Amino acid sequence: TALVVDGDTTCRVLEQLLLRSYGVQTHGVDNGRDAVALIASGVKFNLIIIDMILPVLNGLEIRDMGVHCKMLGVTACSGESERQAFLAAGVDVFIEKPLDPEHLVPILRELDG
Amino acid sequence: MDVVNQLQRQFIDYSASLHREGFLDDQFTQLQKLQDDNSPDFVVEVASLFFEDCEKLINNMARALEQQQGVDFKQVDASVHQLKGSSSSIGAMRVKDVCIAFRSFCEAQNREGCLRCLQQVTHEYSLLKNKLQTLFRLQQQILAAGGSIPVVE
Repeated sequence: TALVVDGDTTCRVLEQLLLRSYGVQTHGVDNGRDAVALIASGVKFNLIIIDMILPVLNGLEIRDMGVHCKMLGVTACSGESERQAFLAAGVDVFIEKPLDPEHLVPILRELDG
Repeated sequence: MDVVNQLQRQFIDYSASLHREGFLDDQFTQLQKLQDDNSPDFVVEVASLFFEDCEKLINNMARALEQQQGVDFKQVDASVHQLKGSSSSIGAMRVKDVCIAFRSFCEAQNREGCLRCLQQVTHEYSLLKNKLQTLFRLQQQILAAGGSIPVVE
């Protein structure tokens, strides 16, 4: 199961559809507050895909909630400083949008064991 | 059968022209491959979402750039950033490319440059919308004639 946290509707819908095409059940929220609430309610996720620019939440805050699953950061930013900031904020992998099979499939394979 | 073949040929040629002219890139092809019997109208629906997002973001940019008391370039940049993300996700290459230039002008706090980019992005969005609507009409005609949509690589 994957959680997609992206404030942009087009991106969130596409990211969820891509995951579903690989058989991954997904939840989608458009803001950090709803992501926090969903995680706090006890729903478990194997993978979180999170946009870099979100109000309320960043990767570290999710980590602070005891979430240890793989976190994949996605962003329209492409600079090295953004990459470092994103990684420092708690994501495991950083991808410049669009999320594509080339980057997603190895992660899904890894999670599949 | 002849009508279907003709329509399919038209569809392939039109798709190819959209890629050749830079309106769409490979990401759009990837999206078309995700379309299946479970989600037959997926690409049309996502394109509609993208158009709605575009209009909202372009309006936000225009309002922010109109401010007489001083432009909040961070606010403009936030909208451009979002549009860059959604345009790259759907494969709208020319819109995305304008956004890249637009962000540079936001960073430089260059209002004139931003206004030019706003004009360009509005123009590119309108062009893309018209062209995709033509493409989707061709799709509908093929399906109505009993044919299937060709996959264009």
